[in-house]
Amino acid sequence: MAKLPVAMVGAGHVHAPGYLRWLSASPDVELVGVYDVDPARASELADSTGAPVLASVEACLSLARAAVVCPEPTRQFGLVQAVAGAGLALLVEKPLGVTPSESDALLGLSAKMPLSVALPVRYHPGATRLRRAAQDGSLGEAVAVWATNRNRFPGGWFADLSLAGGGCLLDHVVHAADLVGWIWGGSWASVRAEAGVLHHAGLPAEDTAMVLAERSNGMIVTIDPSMSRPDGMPGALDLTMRVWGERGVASVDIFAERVGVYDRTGRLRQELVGADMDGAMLGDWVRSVTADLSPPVPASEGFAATSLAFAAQQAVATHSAVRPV
Amino acid sequence: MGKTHVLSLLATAGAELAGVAAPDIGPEVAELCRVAGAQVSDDVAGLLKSGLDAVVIATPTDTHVSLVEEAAAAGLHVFCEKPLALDVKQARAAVDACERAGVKLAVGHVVRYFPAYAKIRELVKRGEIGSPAMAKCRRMSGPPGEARGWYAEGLRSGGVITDMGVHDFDWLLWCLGPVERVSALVAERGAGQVAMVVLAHEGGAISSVELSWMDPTGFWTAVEVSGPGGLLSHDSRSSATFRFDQDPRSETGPPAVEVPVGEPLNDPYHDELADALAWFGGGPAPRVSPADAVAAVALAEAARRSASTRETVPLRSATP
Repeated sequence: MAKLPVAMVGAGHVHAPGYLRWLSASPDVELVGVYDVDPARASELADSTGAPVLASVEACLSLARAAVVCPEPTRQFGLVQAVAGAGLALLVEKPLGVTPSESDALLGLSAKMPLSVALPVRYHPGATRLRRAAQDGSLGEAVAVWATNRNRFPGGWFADLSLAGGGCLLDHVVHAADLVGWIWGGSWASVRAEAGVLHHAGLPAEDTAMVLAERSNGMIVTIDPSMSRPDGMPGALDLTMRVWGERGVASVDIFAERVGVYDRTGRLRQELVGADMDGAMLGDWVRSVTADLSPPVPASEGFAATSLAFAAQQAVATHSAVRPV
Repeated sequence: MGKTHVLSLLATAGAELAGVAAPDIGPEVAELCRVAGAQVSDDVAGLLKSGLDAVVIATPTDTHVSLVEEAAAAGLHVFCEKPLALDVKQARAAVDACERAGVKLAVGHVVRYFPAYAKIRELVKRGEIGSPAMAKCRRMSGPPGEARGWYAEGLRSGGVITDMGVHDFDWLLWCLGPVERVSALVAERGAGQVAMVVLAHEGGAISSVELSWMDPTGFWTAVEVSGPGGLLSHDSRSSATFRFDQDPRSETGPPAVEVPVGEPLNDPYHDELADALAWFGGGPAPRVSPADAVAAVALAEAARRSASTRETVPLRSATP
């Protein structure tokens, strides 16, 4: 089987280096190059992966059959527009757009090309086990889902609204929101939220939030996307779900598999081990493109998860319940 | 809770258990009363007139206010289980009755006496994490058993938001200050309920309270407060100094309503009652004032309204 020629178009997102390492190591992929608005960053990434730097989006179009779009969030829309219609299959970093109108337009563009959204948590064994428990009836009807997707403040472009496009609602609501839609179907009926800049003074957008939502089937869902973990805290990044079902409680802790390392002074750090969900997602996407299958995570599903974040932003501003699109 | 308070009273120096009035006290409490020489009857009015100094009310929530009023009218100081009442109007009536009668009213917001909760509040007030930004309280239990069916009756207990949540509402008000807005959702299946309540505090801090009467693993609580300067956390499961996993084939099932059991050395239920009794006897005021108890009921009432209207509910200053 011929290798799939893949380019990375936009590489400013924190997930770009990991994706590039996987792409350059995959026997099914020919990594044709990296384009980024910042040539220095592109060449730095190229050095570490052996992929050439591409000078323009056009260069990607001529060499690649598929592209991973992984820039800072506000640069995503322009790059997807630039490659749309050139016949490339795309894997687009979440969230899908930084405003409702961008998200709408991206959903429209996805009709022209196979567009998959990068929501790797679907591939994690914790998530697939939960989905099985939900679908085989062992959990019974799910009444409520309480999720957290918290982190330390990541720094970098997260402090620059012109690059991040939003705060922790935009960045960290989508993973848990997507799992709920993927596992139980239905749609978002209503959302309320509180948010503020409360942990890191001076940030341009919220670093702290709580989202309280209802699904069309009556399930209640809460998501805590806050950057509330202190810098250097072991296990600072979490993604947890507690699902209250009629037949029991299911708990998911995506980053639970880790080894505690105590140094000579007794200080603890943790080494994450366990499933490579990013690799599983990329592998599935590459297979789908190679075999001409439909996108593994269609734009409509990325759109639905992102719409919850936009509605939550609006609910914060109005102090009232908002119905997501 | 009746048995817990009987045990606490028996263990409190300077207190004497004069009598217990209840429709059915069960063999264990009956034996404790027999040994202590305390009279047992179902005659509340008679007990209140029997020359007491104070009374402990540990009855279903919907009966609290009329019993507080009756005790106050009899000139007795009152320790009342939480929540003081099902709504703020009733709670104020209870406080007013005690004020009019010139008796003291203590309310069993025992979480303030749980060492980890008290320590976290102390650390927050000391500035350990800077200006507190976010708090998360979790309180889980199995469904209330059939023997105490009134808990599951929303009109009698207020459901999981009022019965369980009022503990955390009181602690959050104590720790993070008054609340401006409440958003809540509740879901029910049979006797099981889960609820999530989000509070916007004056000054901007956000807190959330996760409540469940559906946890098959039984009772546990957890709390976390974070701010610019760090994070404080406690989980009752990971800080248990004793654990007993009963053989599921054993014949004694779990209790009807799970109450964390204190040992004499470190028993929050004893400490809260001892504080109240000392206050009744002329000592310093306990951690929970009558106004605090009213504020916690007001918050619970607003949360229930938010859960039923599915809208955010603004609160006028929660602390009167």
